[in-house]
Amino acid sequence: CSDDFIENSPYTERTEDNFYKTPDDAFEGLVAAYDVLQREGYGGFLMVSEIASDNCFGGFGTADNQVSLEWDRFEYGSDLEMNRPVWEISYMGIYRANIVLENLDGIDWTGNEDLRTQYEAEARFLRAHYHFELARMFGEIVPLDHSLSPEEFESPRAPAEETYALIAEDFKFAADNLSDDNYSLNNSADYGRVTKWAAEAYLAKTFLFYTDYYETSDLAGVVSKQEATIYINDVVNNSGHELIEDFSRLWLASSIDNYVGEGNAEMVWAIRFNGSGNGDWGLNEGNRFQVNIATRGSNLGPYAYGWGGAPVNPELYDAYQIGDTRRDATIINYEEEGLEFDNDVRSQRQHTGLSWKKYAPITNEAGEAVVAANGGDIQIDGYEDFAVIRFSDVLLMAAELNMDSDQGFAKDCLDRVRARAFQDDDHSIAVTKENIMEERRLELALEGKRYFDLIRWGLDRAKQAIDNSGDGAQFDVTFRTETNGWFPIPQSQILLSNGAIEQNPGW
Amino acid sequence: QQKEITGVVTSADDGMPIPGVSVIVEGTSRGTTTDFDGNYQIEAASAESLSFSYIGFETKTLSVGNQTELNVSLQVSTSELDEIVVVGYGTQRKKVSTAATSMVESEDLIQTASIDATSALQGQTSGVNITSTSGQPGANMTVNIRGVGTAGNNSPLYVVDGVVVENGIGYLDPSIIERVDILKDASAASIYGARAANGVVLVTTKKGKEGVTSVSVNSYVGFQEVARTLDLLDSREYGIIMNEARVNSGYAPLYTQEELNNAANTDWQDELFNNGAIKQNHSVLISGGTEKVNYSTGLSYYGQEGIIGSQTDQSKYDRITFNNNITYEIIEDHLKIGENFSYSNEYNKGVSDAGIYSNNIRGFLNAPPTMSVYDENGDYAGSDISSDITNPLGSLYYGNFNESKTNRAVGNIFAEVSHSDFTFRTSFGADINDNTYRAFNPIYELSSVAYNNTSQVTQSANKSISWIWENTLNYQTTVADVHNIDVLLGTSARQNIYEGQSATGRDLTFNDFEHAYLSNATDQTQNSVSGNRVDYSIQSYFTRLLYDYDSKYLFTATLRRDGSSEFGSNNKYAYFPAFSVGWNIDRENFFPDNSFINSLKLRGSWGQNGNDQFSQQFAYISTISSYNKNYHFGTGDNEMPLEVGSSPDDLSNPDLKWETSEQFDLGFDARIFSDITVTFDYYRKETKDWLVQASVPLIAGANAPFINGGDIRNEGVEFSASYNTDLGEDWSLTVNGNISYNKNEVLRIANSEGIIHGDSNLLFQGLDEMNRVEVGHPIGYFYGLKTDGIFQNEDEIQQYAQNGALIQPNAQPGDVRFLDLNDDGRINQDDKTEIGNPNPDVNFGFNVQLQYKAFDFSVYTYGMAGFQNVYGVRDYSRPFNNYTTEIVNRWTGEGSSNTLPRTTWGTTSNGNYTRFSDLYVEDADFLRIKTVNLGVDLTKLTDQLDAFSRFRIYVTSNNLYTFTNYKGMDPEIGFGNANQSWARGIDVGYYPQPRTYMVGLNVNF
Repeated sequence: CSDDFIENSPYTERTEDNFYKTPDDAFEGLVAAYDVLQREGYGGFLMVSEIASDNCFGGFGTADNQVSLEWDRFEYGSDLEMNRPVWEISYMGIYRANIVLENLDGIDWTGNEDLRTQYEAEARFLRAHYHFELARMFGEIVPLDHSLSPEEFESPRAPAEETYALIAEDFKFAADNLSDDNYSLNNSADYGRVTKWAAEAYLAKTFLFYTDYYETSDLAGVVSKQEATIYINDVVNNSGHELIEDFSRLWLASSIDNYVGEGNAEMVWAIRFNGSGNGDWGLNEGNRFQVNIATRGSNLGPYAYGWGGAPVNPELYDAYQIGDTRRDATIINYEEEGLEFDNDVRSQRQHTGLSWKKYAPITNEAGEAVVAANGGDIQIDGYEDFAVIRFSDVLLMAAELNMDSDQGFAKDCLDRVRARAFQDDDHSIAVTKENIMEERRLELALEGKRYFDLIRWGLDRAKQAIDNSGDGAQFDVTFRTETNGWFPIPQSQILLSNGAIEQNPGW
Repeated sequence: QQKEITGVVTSADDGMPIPGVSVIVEGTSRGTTTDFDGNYQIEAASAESLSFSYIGFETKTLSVGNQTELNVSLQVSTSELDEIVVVGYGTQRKKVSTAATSMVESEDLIQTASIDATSALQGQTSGVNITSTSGQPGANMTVNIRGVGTAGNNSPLYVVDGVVVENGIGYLDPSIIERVDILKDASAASIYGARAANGVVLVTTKKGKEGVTSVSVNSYVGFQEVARTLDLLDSREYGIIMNEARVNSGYAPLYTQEELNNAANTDWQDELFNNGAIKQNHSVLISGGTEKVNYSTGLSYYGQEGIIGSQTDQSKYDRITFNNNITYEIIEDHLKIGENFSYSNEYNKGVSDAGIYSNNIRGFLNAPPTMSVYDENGDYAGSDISSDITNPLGSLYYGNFNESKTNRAVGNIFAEVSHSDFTFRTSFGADINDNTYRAFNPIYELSSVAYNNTSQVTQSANKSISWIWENTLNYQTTVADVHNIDVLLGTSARQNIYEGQSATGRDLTFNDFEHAYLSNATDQTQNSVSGNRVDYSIQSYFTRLLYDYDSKYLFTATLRRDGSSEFGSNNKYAYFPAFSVGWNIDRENFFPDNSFINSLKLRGSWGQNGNDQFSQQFAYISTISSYNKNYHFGTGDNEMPLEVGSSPDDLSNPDLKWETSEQFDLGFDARIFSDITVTFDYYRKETKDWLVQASVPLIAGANAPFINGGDIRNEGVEFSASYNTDLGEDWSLTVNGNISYNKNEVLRIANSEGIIHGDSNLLFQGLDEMNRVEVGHPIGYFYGLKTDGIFQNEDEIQQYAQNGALIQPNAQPGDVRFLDLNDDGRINQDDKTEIGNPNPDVNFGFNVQLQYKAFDFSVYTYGMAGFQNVYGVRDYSRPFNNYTTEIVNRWTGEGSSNTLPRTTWGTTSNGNYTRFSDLYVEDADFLRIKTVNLGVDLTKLTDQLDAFSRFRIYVTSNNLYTFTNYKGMDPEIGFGNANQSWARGIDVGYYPQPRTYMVGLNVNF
């Protein structure tokens, strides 16, 4: 036989030789970078940060492993890979974004030059998003502006400034190059893609976290406070985003009959989920997070069942003033809602009588989980989107950024959020950092913001908020400031780096 | 006084008549030969003796006495001079072979009444570890020759009548197999270089013999039962333990005495097992030949119901096989053509028995005994405790509607041209596999976690065609009477093409399995489909020299060059050399003629073999995948199309090359005391450059590339002995035994960790890594915490401290004390270490066959020692799961137990069972009586059956008894984790091998 006999090429996959040639190929590559957003689930950014914050305890079942308790209590031991999902998923997203960016030059863009800019901006936005999640969880990370060659696998972590410079440049490129389109309006077929407005808001968000935590005046030398303020004000004034009238209509479980729907004017950027995986564990189309925080045991009233993770801290429930519509839209209080939660049967660990209503999966009129009724698997086919940036977050960031420069504008922004929450104008409060942070706690509860707001505000404040005692030993929590607020890096990654990466202090 | 003696001469091996046997009156020149039917007649006097001799059989001499009929059964000769070994592309006299091989003959395969030859081989050869992966009919066996040599595919290469076959030899009826030869050392295997790194199993099917047509019928039927059940708690005991656990954890008791009195008391194992499930086999083989044509053709049926699931017809294995071998000598001594062909049709239905999620056995063993089997309406009962406890019988029924049908044809045609010392052979073979599969998921509701709202059907079809074309030129000559030379040159080309389709449809118009076909899906837009094709090709050139000097000094050299499509252009080809030498000391003049050592051969070999089998194609180029990369833009969830995303999934490695196993072997063969043969081998086998996916840092962002990233050493000794004797005229005895020792150690894994990690969640959801492949340890070792008894009181907890801080601050009296191996004052993953090894140090088998006149009795046993299993049957993450009565010995107060911790409702913060520790690891040494046989050949008892040369009826039992201290149902657990071929010995509820009782018939005429 000739040598051709043992030549082989794949029938069902393309290769790098015949891919990344056309704008459509670039789009497919970009979609793959978006796809990683859907990996949020057990041990993901949202769950870990909410359990670690003062919003939630660890929860799950009495017989489940200790990992969720360890997130809550700042312990580390039963699973040294406990934070692997965030590390793994974020770097997967970074890789996919980098692969697209590296291949843009090899594509024939003739007649589609605008697309090239748009795709580049979107890919860089996503790259920055994944970096920012990593940097908030782990502090110093390995920033990557290109896909790694095997020789670079044992790269060390870089100073935070370097990482944040990359993040800021990427968001800035996206903010400066994306069009004015707002896909949240008019049922746009592009809803879910990143926009100029999302990039501008993200710049402000990154600015606030970085300058607060690292106590600097600008964002890694790339964005000054003035620029950040301009960006966030642009979103407030020109994006077309607005608050929807009724806070409770933002969430499925709090507005089963009058849910405002995905793609509403308040969603600056959301991660899209749908049930099209239809029970296929190989496909990450559905929301795999929801089942974790759902009512433990079996369906209960309008709430579909799940594993009872991250039970809500009564302190959060009690923090809402009377008349604040957000409390009952955010939290399920079983007793208040007349639902009997028999914990002898449900074996909920750290039962507080309170669960997440934001993102709670729901039942239909027949009392059946909607996900299952749609032909999906309740564990993997949740379909509710995650809000990454809502317009109320934008308003609160604007209040924070304008606080020192434009008190009036700042107050106006804060008032809008308060007015919507109380459905009246009688609950205006002064624009202070204290008040804004408290407002963020209430408005953005269970959306993955609280823990990072606390640590940027100061480790002592974080400790004060998070430490818990006196409610029985099972609820005892001690925040350890020696960790600097960062989570432990997966042990395997330290070993595989051959010493280039060291564990965070305190772990 | 002369009288006429008549009789028939048959082979003791298979009862067939032997034509052409020379029958001589001893001490005279009077003689005759048997006819085609093995009959002879001769004149002899009472005082004289008759000698019966035939090549390949042991000569037998009988005195005439007052008999006029002398029927003789000749034993196949075990004289080394005549013994043949199959060496690949030919045979060789054993006397001059330098190979370390094992051979198992037809009779030993049939006697064990096994489903297939692999299972029949268990315990019969040294150095071969064969382990059941499940007791379910049709389940594969794990076969490892001289240890697990790779983290990838560690199965040997199977060659049936010269055709390389994939996926094992389960398609063959064992009764048509003439012999199985196992090539263990590198030199023997190296003629199959490319794929021989894990050893080679050569199967030769029965060929016709010149002479009369003979018919052999083998048949048995029997029933199966579970050999050993667990001693689970009954309801009363269960209630006590549950109440105690709840109180220990601060909850109210679950049951009152009255509730317990009224509760059901179900032993779920009674519902699980179908004692009486049928196993049967019926086969007929017709063979014969003339001077020009030899043929052999057979038909068989094998049917076995599972001991689990067959109550509802959801577990069975049926196999029909047909085979046909013909050789035709067209020009005498110059041209021969022939074919070997076998066809099988397999029908298989099975229940899920692997892993933790839908493992039915596990469900039964964990179910609370207080749950009834059926409710008052006759439906599957729900739980009295919690709505999320599922009736396991209901799960077994609803979760296992499936069937698989496989048609397989394996065969070759060949032509052989001979001229003087040259023989040219060309052979074209094919292995065609055609499988269809269907599965159905009905609408049902058993509990809050086990229900299905939408009926669903999956149909799939897979087809593979593999062809192989081989040409060999052989030159055999003897120079100066003493230089025996045998040179082989050959080529081989082979290609596999696999194509598969699968589709799933939902919401069917019928809710039953009978009508579960895709066209009954009402919403065709919900159907999902997939299809793919995979090619593989390999081409090889090889040469071999076999040389011996007067059968005294032996030498073999082999060289093979292989090219595989699995590698990139820079590494497609590799050379695999091997050499071996032998020395028949007994042929030296100085070797004393003695009655102790009759013959002695020393052997030594070195060689390399390759492996190109690993789990991923195109690992050498970067492929773009679109699987699970979709995203969804636009509002609304299901109206909008998903956008397709694409990116590389795996990092590529253009330098990927062959995995190589290098083996050194030293051994001897000896015959002592004239009827004991012994074989001994020492080997050291190092598999280098494993094809593995070793972890890379996650910052790489894509899956780790496959690399040539590991070395492993298997080192051991093998010893086998057999004793074969006639104890007087009426008795004969054969005893053989083998024992092998193997030590396995991973030498290198090419990343900075030096580890291939095991999966999480192997025993229950939430368990971290419990087994791994790591440098300096045996492959797949168990990785966990060491324990040091139970804390008997608070004082002991307080004293277990370092620098004033408690090492286990969350412990309470009755909890487990874990060892802080790294002395850092806390118990965490860094304290995990090797706590068990699933690879047996020792494999052994011991077989006895005894014959007295018409009666025969045989026992086959095998066993393994020096290994551990993980006993993870109870899922500790579910507090209401049942226990075995072992829990009676739990810690209940100071001094009560130092091994079993207290009970708790749910896990303890001390992690008694949520941390993987040596509490889970159990020694699993065992000795199994695989087969016991008692038969009688009626032709030897009566004249009424003269039409038959053999009419044997027998009773037999498989798996009659297993000696073991292992506490699970079956100590032989080849299964570990479906995703990792090196993982084994993990018992999460294992389908035990059934015990079987059968009656059978062997008839030859």
